[in-house]
Amino acid sequence: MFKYFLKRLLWMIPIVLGVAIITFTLLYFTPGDPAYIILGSNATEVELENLRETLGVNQPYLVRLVKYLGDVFLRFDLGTSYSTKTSVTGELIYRLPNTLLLTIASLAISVLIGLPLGVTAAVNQNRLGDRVSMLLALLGVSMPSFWLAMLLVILFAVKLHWLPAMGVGGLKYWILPALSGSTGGIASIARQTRSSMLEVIRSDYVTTARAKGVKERNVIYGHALPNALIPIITLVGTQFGMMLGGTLILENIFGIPGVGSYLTTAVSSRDYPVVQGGVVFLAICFSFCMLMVDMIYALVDPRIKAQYEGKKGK
Amino acid sequence: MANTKTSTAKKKSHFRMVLRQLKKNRAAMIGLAIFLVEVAIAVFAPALMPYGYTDADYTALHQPPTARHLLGTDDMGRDILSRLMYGARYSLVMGLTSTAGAMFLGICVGSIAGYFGGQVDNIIMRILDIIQSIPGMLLTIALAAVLGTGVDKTIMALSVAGISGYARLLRANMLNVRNLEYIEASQSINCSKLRIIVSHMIPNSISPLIVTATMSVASTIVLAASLSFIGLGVQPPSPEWGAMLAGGRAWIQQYPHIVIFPGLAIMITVLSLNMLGDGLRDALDPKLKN
Amino acid sequence: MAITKNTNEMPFLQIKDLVVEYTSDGETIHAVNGVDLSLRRGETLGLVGETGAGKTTIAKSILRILPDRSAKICGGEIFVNGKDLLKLSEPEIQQIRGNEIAMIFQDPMTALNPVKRVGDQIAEVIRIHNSISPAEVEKRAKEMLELVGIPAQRFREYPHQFSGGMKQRVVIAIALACNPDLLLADEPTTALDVTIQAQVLDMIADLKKQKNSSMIMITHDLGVVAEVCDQVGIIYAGEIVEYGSKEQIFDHPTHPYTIGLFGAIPDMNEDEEWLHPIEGLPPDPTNLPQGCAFNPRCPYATEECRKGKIPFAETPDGHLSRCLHTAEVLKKEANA
Repeated sequence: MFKYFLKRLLWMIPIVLGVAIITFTLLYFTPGDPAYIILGSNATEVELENLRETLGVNQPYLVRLVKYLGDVFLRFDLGTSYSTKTSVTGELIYRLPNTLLLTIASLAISVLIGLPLGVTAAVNQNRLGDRVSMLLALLGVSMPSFWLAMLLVILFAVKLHWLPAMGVGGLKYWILPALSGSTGGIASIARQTRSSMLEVIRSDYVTTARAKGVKERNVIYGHALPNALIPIITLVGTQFGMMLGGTLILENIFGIPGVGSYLTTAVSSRDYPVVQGGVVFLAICFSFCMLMVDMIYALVDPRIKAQYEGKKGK
Repeated sequence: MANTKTSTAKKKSHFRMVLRQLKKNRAAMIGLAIFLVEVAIAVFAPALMPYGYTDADYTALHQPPTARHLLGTDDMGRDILSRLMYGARYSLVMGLTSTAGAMFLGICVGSIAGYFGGQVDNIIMRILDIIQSIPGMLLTIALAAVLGTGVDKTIMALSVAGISGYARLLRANMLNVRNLEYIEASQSINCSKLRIIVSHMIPNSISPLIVTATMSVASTIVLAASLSFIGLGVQPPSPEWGAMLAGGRAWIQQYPHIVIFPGLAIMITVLSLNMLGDGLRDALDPKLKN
Repeated sequence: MAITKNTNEMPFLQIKDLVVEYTSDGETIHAVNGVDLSLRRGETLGLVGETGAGKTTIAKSILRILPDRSAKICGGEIFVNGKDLLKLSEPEIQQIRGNEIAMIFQDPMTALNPVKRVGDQIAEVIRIHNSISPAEVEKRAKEMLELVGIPAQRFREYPHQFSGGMKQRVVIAIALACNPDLLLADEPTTALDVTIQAQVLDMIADLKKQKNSSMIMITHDLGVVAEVCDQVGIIYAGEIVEYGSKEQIFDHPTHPYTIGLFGAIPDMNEDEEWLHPIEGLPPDPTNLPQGCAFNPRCPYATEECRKGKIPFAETPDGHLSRCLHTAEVLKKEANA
């Protein structure tokens, strides 16, 4: 198991390298002169040329790529922001906790509400409760999170004055962002849980459990649910990615100084080192999450664990 | 020859069965109806709109819904209903073409991997691994940043960002199909590899892709709106729904109706497509019903 | 009914007029249509019939583990030790499941939970029905493993590490772990290789004898019946059509369907060129024929057979058959 973990961890290196190469290449071929972007239209040609020299943007593609990769992988230096002149790595690490807090809170809420909701719906298939919760879930997956965020702001901040509309601070500042971030997650986890529970609930081993005299609650949560978890875990992994991406917009709406708002600002001001660094950085976070997902598979299903360990299972 | 004939006959009847299943599904039919109505509105928008989508009425700024302006007016006195009707063109065109583009490119990449196998397959899959380690939203934003703004650029960004999902799905299905007996059968009668892929493997691997595509028209519409919302997709004053939301943001305190209606339009579109997609999935895979 | 003849004592298991229906896509499937049967302690009853005749449904009705969505017990009574199981509350029947009555399932490949250790799956049933310490539970579960011929070291392994035959042994261990009074064995050997079928059957019969349990053996294999059963009920379209002791049924089969079943077995002593299948197909359970359900396939059928439910009639050797033409059938068979 541990060996497999290490192997996967090592495999992340070429992945992240690939992400760095791809983003660097994309942005390299993007039109726009960094020196011009930094100095603006008032700069003289000499000033511009000097700056190009300092930034090293005059050098050929391969030289710059190798230098960039060296900086990133050997010195963990993602470069310097054009607009603020500060270290991208430092800024990202400073902002990461906010982003992670929002993402993980949204994910936790999604699982804690979505999972039991889906199980209950499956157990009561086609009854009123199932119909109502699946209708709500359908609305939930269809609602753009940034619009929901604005609706929540209108209701709870503007009309009711219960919660702050934006900014960071205590718990109450996080309620609206986490709520808007998690609605889609709750809905899609509930839908996935329902459908994979429906499949599992008819299995013979669930009948075996009943025939043993296991209490119904335990039949569902102890015997059926563990078998229904694999596709749910997969979904939770992709939801993490979506929520991480979603922070790009939610952080903007709620004025949270996280990685997402840093990135979107950088995109509109053409601050390429930040964009590049941000993409690589978030890709690392996401890869870690997917690695965790793969590890959780093994905890849930002994057959997958056996596969990881290279034993021949049936 | 006889072989392909019977297999197409079978496919047709399967297709009919799916269609019949789908027709029985009320939610799916409602979804389809809503979507078709929207398409009609988008197509005939110029004739249906009560006002021009750029007509500014400076005597009626920020008006809440009235009899004259059913959904009110925005900060420049433009009629929101008219803008939403015309804006349906942007959302639908971007959603449909980007999905079609992503699906087409994905099928190409996926079948190249499936066709050549071995090293080529390996390299393509590793590149997809890399691309998929970037969260979708972030990838789209990065691509949009590179390509620039505007409808065409946004469609390109959305299509490219969607490739890997389809490619992977198609390849996985092809691997499943590859081991089935009728593929062995066509190999045994000496069909060329290309022919097997194009006329047997792709058609038989594609139905999960259709469900995914229906659902992803929905999510692509949201993604396109999100891009415009943060200023990367379609730019104001175009009445794209995401751009309208972005424009209304400043007025959220005083005039919430300016952001409520464009969002509602997005949601209804996405909802109708999800209803259709759910129905399609149940029709193609009936084992989950009952 | 007449099945409980000649006994003054209350039988250990008695089923009266059991009716079970399934609904699917608005159609009603008549799976069990008025089944009566009874069983004394220590005896084994064989239920024989084709796939879909309703054998498994009868067994699952006794434990009340039919899918509660689609299946419904529409009528009847099931007495075990004097209690009507169909009138018990859910917690009460849970006390009985796996404890007084246990079931061996047909397909060992799917009957075990793939994500739980086999040992835990045996231990669970022991823990539920006995208030003993965890250490004691584990000890008894290991004893059960040994009893079905699996080394106790494999307690912590998962089902996917076991072969089909071993899995069936685990299923049997689960069923026998609490010394049930009644064992429902649902085709316990069909999914197994021929070579281990006999082993498993012997083991079941052995363990059953040790614990003096009663058993219902569901099968479509007359060889299995010959080996383990005392009484036999032949089931057709959710109805018992012939009922008697093993000897009575094997030596003097009387119902045309039963005769057809025996006719379908090739006789090793004669040089037969063709098998003799029963003509036609089992009836559509959503639309059963009027009267005797077997009449469309029966060579002896007359207008009379299509009129209403056929009652049991006593045959010359004293067992029961639902046929109006017993005398005629026996005459013809004697000449054959």
